[in-house]
Amino acid sequence: MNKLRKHGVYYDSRIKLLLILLTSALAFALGGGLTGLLLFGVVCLFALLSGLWKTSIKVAIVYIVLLMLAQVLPIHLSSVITFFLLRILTIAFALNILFQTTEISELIAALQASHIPQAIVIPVAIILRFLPSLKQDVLYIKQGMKTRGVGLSFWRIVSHPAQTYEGFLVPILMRLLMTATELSASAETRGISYPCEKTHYILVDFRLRDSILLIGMLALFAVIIWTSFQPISF
Amino acid sequence: MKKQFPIISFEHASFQYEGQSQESLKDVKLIIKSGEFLVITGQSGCGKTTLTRCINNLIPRFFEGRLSGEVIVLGRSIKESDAGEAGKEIASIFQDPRSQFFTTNSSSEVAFACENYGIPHKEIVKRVNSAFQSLNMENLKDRDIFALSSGERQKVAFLAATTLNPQIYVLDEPSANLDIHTILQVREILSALKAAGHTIIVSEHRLFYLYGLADRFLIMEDGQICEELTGEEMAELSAVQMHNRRLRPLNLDLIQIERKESICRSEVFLQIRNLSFSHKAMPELLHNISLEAYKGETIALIGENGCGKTTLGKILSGLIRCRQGAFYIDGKNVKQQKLSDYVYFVMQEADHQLYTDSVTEELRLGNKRIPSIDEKVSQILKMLHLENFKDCHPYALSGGQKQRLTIGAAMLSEKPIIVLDEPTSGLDWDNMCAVANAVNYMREAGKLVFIITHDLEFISLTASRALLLKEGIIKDDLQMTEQNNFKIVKNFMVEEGGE
Repeated sequence: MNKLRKHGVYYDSRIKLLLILLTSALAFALGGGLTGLLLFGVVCLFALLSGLWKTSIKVAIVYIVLLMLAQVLPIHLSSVITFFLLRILTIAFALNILFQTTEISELIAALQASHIPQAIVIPVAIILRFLPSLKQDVLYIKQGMKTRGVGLSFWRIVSHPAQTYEGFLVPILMRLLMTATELSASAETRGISYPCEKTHYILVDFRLRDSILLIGMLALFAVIIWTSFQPISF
Repeated sequence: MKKQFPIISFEHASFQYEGQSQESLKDVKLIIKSGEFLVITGQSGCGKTTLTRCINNLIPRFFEGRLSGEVIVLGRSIKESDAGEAGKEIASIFQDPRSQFFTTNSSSEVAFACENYGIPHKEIVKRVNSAFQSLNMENLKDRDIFALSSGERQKVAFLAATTLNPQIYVLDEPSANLDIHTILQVREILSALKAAGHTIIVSEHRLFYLYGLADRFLIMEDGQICEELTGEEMAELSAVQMHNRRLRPLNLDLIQIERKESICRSEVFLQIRNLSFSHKAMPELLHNISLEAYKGETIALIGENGCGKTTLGKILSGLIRCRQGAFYIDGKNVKQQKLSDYVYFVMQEADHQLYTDSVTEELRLGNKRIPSIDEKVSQILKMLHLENFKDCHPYALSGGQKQRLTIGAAMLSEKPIIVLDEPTSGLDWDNMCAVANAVNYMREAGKLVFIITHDLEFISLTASRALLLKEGIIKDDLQMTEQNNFKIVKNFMVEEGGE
């Protein structure tokens, strides 16, 4: 189904969603230091499980470099790193697992199977669908600005901040609006809001392997929460 | 002969979109019979898209407005139905293959409608498999949608439409983003659907692929059906008669090149040596390309969807980084990323290239240092028929007007090389001619112009030279001053351009 699935282990997309939820909640609720590092380790473990070798290595290097910088930089900079950047990086990494390894229809099926209301399922699916388009639009607009001689150079952003902001944001919003209209017209003609029991092309079931993985994940998170309450610090 | 009965009827139907001051459909009377193949054509804004939106029931619930008269589709008034209800029997295919996909995998996309209408899992799997099989497109199964070319995506859209085996197919400019070879494959699909007895309604500017297929043509103007011709009557119209009706040709054989004086070549202006390129972790897209070009030339880059034309154009414009290859302008070696100082790139989507809040400001952007800029701006506005819109917000313009505006910005630019990426996709005859005039103006002003295009007619009006791209190399390099070379180009686009 997905080229990445061939390399990694396939597991239920609801586990990936739970991983995101727990990571986002804990990254800011718990302390940094060892707890943050452990949290990052868990996310990394699941990324490797999904077969995201290259991404994992890249993100890990960034994490370590930031962590080392935090040791040598003056306190006001290092606190930005430890309190903000490292935690955001961990959450983004968890999100990335979902985006890179999950089909939209698979996620919809999994969420519907867990009786999550349609009002939540459809927006989540649309966000997942829009991100790749948005990425492409951003790239094209950047290229368009460069050829017009109003590229996003450092000097330009500093000297004309409002103009750069407008020039960039207006096209993106217009594109989003247009894509959204076209996409929903197309989905509408194919019965997305037709009132009937929905069926699925891809069947998802929560298998024994998924249950074991889920228990393992919860256990790891329990350990992390436990360590954050220990008086030892590194 | 099958028995034909009315399946769709418009009875004095008028429609005005909410927030618009004019009616988009005016008192339309039309009966479509089952099994009929109908083509609706006319200038942009003539109301043909609105007509298709009535048939697939997107009007009046999804696109709101004031509907008077009556439209009956399959025995039901569209006032009492909606697109979801109608979707069981009416499949819709749209212009942009990018924004009509809901999922990110081709098989899931084909299954999407079945899932929504509650067809059992086993039956969905069966239908998805047989859809890919019956249209002989198993190579498209289970693919990442974002990795497909526009032609492949449009084919997937067709597959997705067939799974419910609907009675009616409604297509709104399905060929706009496709190369000629792929369009002819679409023709094959349509021909099979017609043979199976489906009713097909196509709204379209490019008509050649409907030659010999359509039973009836409606020409619309200003919200009304102004002329109705049978397929045979349409086929008898000469090129001049088609152009008088401001229509694109029905028969590609009627297109001939406008004989242009051959370009007197002085010194090589642009030279590319040994350019090779591949996207990250992908096989090589462009292989060892070398090229010499002169000022005053318009060079058409031709090849199938996804062959690397746009990539080559963007490398040449310094927008995509390319490590292999040497570039010389006016004899001087230029770093690849500095090419953006010499080359102006006009994007395919105008929306990616409009950044200010008025048409005039848009033309001044980045050009303020040019002497007597204001005069030049008003001259360009006049040439592109935009002078009445000079204070409008660029996003308030129509598609064709936006496209002309981005080309206007290119005309003002002082860069000596201009690359235009599919500047006429989705444009009607008038707009296409306006773009062709603009391109010829730039060439005559001594610029070196590259056009990336699938539009044979546009090539016939503008190109002085054509480069045929296939499998990463320039397969042929032809001067467009002889009809014979033009024929070679045409055959390449029709036959060899495909996979």
